[in-house]
Amino acid sequence: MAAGKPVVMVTLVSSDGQSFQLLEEAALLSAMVRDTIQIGQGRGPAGIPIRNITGQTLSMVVVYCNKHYTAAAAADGDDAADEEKKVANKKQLREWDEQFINLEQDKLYDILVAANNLGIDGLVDLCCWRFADMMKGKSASEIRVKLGIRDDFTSEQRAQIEKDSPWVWSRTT
Amino acid sequence: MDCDGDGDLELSDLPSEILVYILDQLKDTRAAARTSVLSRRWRNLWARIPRLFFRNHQPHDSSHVSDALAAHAAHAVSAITQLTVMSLYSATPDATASWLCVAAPLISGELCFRNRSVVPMRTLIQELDEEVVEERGVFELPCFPKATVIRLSLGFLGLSLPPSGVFSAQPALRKLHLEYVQFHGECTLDDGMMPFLKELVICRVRGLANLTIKLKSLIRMNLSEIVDLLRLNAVVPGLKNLYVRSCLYRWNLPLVRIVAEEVEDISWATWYDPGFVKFSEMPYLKMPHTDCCHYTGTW
Repeated sequence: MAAGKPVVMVTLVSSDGQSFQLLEEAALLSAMVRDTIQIGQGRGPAGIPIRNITGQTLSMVVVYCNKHYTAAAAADGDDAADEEKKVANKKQLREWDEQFINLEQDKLYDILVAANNLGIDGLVDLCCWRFADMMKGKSASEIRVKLGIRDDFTSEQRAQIEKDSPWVWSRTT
Repeated sequence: MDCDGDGDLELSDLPSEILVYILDQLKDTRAAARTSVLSRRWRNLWARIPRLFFRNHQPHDSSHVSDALAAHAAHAVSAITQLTVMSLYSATPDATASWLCVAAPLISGELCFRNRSVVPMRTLIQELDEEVVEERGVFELPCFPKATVIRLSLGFLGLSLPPSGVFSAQPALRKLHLEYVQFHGECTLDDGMMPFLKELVICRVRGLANLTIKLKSLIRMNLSEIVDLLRLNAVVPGLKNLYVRSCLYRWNLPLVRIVAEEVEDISWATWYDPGFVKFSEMPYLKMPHTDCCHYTGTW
C-alpha cells in the first residue's frame, strides 16, 4: 500500500449476523460492494448487510478477497519489467487458489453462490473450475452421485439422447 | 436464491450461465456433451459453451469434430469464440480439411489447430533440419469469414493457401500464426487474402523457399527458422515491429527486400549482407537489436 494513503475499512455482515472487517480495497473485488459504496452507502458502522450468505461462507470469501488484494498490491509495487517474477507470483497465487478451493461440494456450492451474488468474478471462475475438475473423467452416474444431481430421465429417454448424438458416445481411441 | 445460502440446494439449481461456465471449464467438448444425460436441466446445456475443445485420436477420421460442430450450430445459442482441435497423431489432409470446412463459417473468434500434439517439441525441431521428409500431404485452408485469429501448428502437415482471387478474403483475420508447417516452394500473403491482418508469425517451417508478403495493415511480423528460405519480398508499409531469426544462410545466397518505412523496432538475428538484403528507408527506426554475426552494413 502506498504510504500516506488512508486506511479505509468496511464491514460486511452475514445473514446470521456475523461481522467481518476488511480493507475497503479488498472488499471492492465484489461488484456488489463496489455498487453499494458508489451510491454512498456501506461505509457507516452498520456495515454492508450481505443477504443469503452465512458467516461460515462469508469468512471464506473474505479470506479470498484479502489474499487477492494483497497479491495485487504486491504486484503493483514490483518492477514491471521483471517478467519472470510476475510469472512466478502468478503461479504461486494459482497454487494458493487451488489449495483454497479444494473443498467438498457443499461448501464449494455455497461459495459459488456467494461469489456469484457478490459479483466476484475471479472466485466464480475458481469455483467453476473446481466443479469441472470434480466432473473430469467420470461417467454420468458417477457425476450424479458426486454432485448430487437427481436423474429425471427414463432409461428410454437416456438411450434416445445417446442415440441422437453418436459422436459423444463413440470411442475414438 | 430465496434460501439461506447454506441450505440443501443442488448444483442444478444454479443459473444456467454458471452451469455452462462449469462445462466450459472442462475444456473438453465431448465430456461436456456427455452431461446431457445427467438430467433434463443439463440437456443440451453444452451447446451454449462458446469455446470448444476436441482431442482427435484417429488420423483418418475427424467426423466427431464435424458432428459436434454441426450439433452446436443446430442449437444456435452461442457463436463459437474459440475452437481448439488437437490431433494427437498425424491427421490426414482429408480428415483435416473435412472438419475445417464445417468449422469455417461458424467461428467468430479463434481457431487453433495442433497436429501431432503428442510429438515432443524437440522431435519436431529435429525434423525441421532432416534431409528426408515424410510426405504427409497437403490441405487447403478454407476461408474463415469471421475468424479473427488462426493458429496452426501442423507437425509438418502440408498447408496450401490458394492465391489471391481464388482464395476468398479473410476479412476478420487479425492474427495468423503458422508453425511446423511443410510448404511446397512458394507462399504469398497479400491484401486480397487478408486485408486487415495485424500480426503474422511464421516459425519453424520447411519447404518455404519463396515468401512474398504484401500486407498494408500488418504491424508485427515474426519470421523464425524458415529453414529453406531463398527469396523474401515483404512490402509492409504499416509495419512497426520486425523480428527475423535464423532464416537466412549465406550459402543459399538468399535475396531479401523489405519495404517497411514505418518500422520502429527491428530484431535481426540472422545472416545479413547489404548486397543481398535490401531495406527501404526506415526513418522511425530506434536502435536495432542485431545478434547477427555477419552484420556488416548500415541501417
